[in-house]
Amino acid sequence: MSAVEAAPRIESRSNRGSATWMVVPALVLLIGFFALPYLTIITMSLREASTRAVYGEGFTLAHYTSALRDFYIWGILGRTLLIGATVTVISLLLGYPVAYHLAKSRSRWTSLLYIFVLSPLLVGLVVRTFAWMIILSNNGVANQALQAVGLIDFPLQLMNNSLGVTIALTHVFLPFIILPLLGNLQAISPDLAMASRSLGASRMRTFWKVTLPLSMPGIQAGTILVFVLSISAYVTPAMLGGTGGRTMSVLVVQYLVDNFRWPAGAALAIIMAAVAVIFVGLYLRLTARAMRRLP
Amino acid sequence: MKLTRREFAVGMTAAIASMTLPRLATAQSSLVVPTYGGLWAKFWEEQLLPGLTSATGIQPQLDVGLGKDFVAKIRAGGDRSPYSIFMGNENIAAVLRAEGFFEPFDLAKVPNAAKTYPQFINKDAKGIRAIVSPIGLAYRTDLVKTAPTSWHDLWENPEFKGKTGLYQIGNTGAVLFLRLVAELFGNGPDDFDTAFAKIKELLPFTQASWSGEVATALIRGDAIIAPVDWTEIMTLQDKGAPVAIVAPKEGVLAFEQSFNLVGTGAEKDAAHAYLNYILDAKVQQDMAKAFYTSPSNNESVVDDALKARTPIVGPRMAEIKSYDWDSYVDKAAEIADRWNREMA
Amino acid sequence: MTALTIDRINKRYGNLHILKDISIPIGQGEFVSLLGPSGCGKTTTLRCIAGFERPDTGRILFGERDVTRALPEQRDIGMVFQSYALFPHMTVAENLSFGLEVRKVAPADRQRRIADVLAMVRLEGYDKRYPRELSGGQQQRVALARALVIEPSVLLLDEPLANLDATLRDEMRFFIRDLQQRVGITSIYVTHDQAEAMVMSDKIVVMSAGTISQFGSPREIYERPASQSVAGFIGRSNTIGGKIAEALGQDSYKVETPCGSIGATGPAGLSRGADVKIMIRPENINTRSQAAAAGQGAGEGGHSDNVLSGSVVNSVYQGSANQLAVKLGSGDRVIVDVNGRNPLEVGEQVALRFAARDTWLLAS
Repeated sequence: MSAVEAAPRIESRSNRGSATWMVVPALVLLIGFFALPYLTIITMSLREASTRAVYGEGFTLAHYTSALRDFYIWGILGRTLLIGATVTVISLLLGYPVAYHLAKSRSRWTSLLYIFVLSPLLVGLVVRTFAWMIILSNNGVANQALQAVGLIDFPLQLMNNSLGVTIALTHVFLPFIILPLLGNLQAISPDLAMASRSLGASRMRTFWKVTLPLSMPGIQAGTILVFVLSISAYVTPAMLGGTGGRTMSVLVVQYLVDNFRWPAGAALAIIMAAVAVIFVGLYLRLTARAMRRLP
Repeated sequence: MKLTRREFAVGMTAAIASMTLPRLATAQSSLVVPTYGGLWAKFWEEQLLPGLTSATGIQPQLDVGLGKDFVAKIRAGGDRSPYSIFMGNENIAAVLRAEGFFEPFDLAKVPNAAKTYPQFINKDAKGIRAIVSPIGLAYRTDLVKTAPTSWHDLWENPEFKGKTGLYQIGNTGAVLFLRLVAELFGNGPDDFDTAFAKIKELLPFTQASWSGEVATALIRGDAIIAPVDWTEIMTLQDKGAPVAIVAPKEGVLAFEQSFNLVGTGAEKDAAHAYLNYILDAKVQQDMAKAFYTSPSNNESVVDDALKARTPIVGPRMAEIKSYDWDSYVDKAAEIADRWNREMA
Repeated sequence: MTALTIDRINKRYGNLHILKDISIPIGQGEFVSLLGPSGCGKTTTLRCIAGFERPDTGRILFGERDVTRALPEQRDIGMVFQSYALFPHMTVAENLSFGLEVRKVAPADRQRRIADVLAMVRLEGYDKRYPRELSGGQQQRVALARALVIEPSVLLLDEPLANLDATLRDEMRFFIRDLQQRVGITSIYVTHDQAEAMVMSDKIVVMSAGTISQFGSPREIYERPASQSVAGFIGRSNTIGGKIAEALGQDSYKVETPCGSIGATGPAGLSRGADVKIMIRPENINTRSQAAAAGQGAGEGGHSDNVLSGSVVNSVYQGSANQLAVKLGSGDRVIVDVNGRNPLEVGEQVALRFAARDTWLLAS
């Protein structure tokens, strides 16, 4: 058996240097469309406020300090993150079974399910959100139905709060968790589940011990995508959130567009971005632990 | 101020884009005139601009957007504004005016200003509120038993409790209402403490970002009464919706489109000619027909049928409460923050 | 005693009849190969045994136990896949431990059994490695160890060597067979490689289009194929058509062919006048040039010898032997193996000599 004895240790590090130049276009793009705009916004956020000019002459940290001392801002920030986390968790719980089914199924109905899954992407965001307004408003479809069957006497407050935003965002972003999961699940050989069951593991045990750990990359990619999209969403919270469901991006737009407070609005935008980076970073570290054994 | 949803959605993009590309001002060859989307853009393209060209020979370029876009572009343009003339709600125009972007009109070059109701011409000709859309109290005719006659009805008619729709503070409609309430209940349009206290009494109320959203709330029945502009309600009536609008006895508010001469613009003579044409009696009449504004020219004729639907015309223009916004600019941020915190 | 009984199972997918009345009795400790081209039903049969497919009719018994309706995890099987199917997020030891944990084997016991089985597959010291850090052959040995460590009643192997290169495949054949015999586990081995089936199996099930063509030992299948298709699928063979002229004994016949009358062995009970094909394996034909044959005289080969003459039409050098194509007087072509040093040229007249006991009659 000497021929089999020499295990090939995977050596990929040595090949990386030669491919470095290939990232140059991406780098240029990143700097041009990502770094420079951010720099501009950061600079703006450090300007003094003024009502006699677009921004004041000097530089100040006042926009940051006053925002960070402001419980109202903290409240909005907290709500934004909570909505993002809730949407992410619900999307995962709803999306995983769908992705799992799509990955396993060979039925002719699968393509129909695909269309169903992707349908939120086929309709414009504003139209979709408007449809949710029609469903969720005080005299909307949902409330009328509930009143008609006598479950409630007075309309439930389904929109102009976090609930409506959460529901609509979940609908909008569900495909963004299903698609990465689907790709991931399809890449897992069905032999692995068969091997597990041949070893005596039930379907449940097979799922928890084999399928779920191996689908962590899909879960990670999908949840980050949905979380980031949710906390930065603007149209849906702007239309459905009202005052009770106002999020950071709505507030930032109000500062920038409605009130023309560019420096303060820029500071809020930077705070939001920083918080998002911190949360995603923490989440990456957490999930990396769960994935450290994967190839 | 009228916004379509699309315009609303691109607002953020425009602002960010103008922040990130601050010196990308267009080298202009002729007059660029800003206007809003929808009915407005259609009117500008089909009637106003061809009319202007045949009357003056000026061939302007049209830039469709919203007032806040125009602000962003002028601010980002720095000393090379893309526009020579600005159009936007007076309270928004006041921001740019305070920042020093505008200069007074030479009224000698605007003969029609003499025929304009004087309340719409700012002191020293620093801006003319040329297009006026009055705001009254709109209500659902099928859901309201006692039609409103006074702004006080919002507080006093129990039918309206929890069923009122108001603009949110990002919309000019909200700051207009705030100053009206300050005037009605306090010691003048700057008595914001009183205004806040009184409006808080109306909670909970539906908040809308633009007139279309107010209309939606009314049609869905989420709100049965709301201050909103005639334009919106007339359009709803044209579609057969059970809504009506009244002019409360204390007077009405109005979205006043303020035209201003941009100091860094290159086409100042053309800008004057354009404004003069906007103020023309015939043009004002046509606008009234196209989107139910109230002519600002005292020689404009409104036929009886239209007058029955939009009563704030002619002598009744005096019922419009036009406020001074130049001093408000300094308080705007604080008031917006306060509204955010208290009206939730 | 039969360890595993497959009793008249049928399986359909829509209109496709995948398995038609398959019955296979498998004895304790036997190594049985399911052999056939792709689509013959061998993999479906294996999956029915494993429980991943359920037959429409028929029964599957493990010993006395009817497992037809049992889930895979309830069957007590070990399975080895073509793809190895090692859990990539687990080390070798964890892969091996998986089935033991399901069976609630105590940790100390687990460690001992894992060490034992790793020694058995000669992978001591590899327990901390991840599958991706192993070669293909090592991975397949881990897969084998994982299936064996739970000491299942049946070992199922689904083309386990198909992903390995040729040299390694040869080594692994003997490795698996040796291991199977040492452990004494009843094994079912799916393959499309007849050489693999020949060297490894106690019994071979030759399958074709959802039916069993022949079930028997490798020797039986090679020397006494049940049909022309089996003969063609297993090894190389020549056939010469003819009619039964006379039954010489219980299994020996005289067959009239266009090349003359030939003495042949065949299944009992062939009736006179029946159309048959005489099968003869290339390595069982003795070849001499016509000239040499004449010099040596007749009768030397014994009474059972058949002699045919023909001319060499093709000669292929294969190292240990030459493969000749010889055209008979009847026009039939016959493949013959000859000693590599024996110089026979294309065009040369040759005498083909073969014993009646090396032939086998196939119903035509």
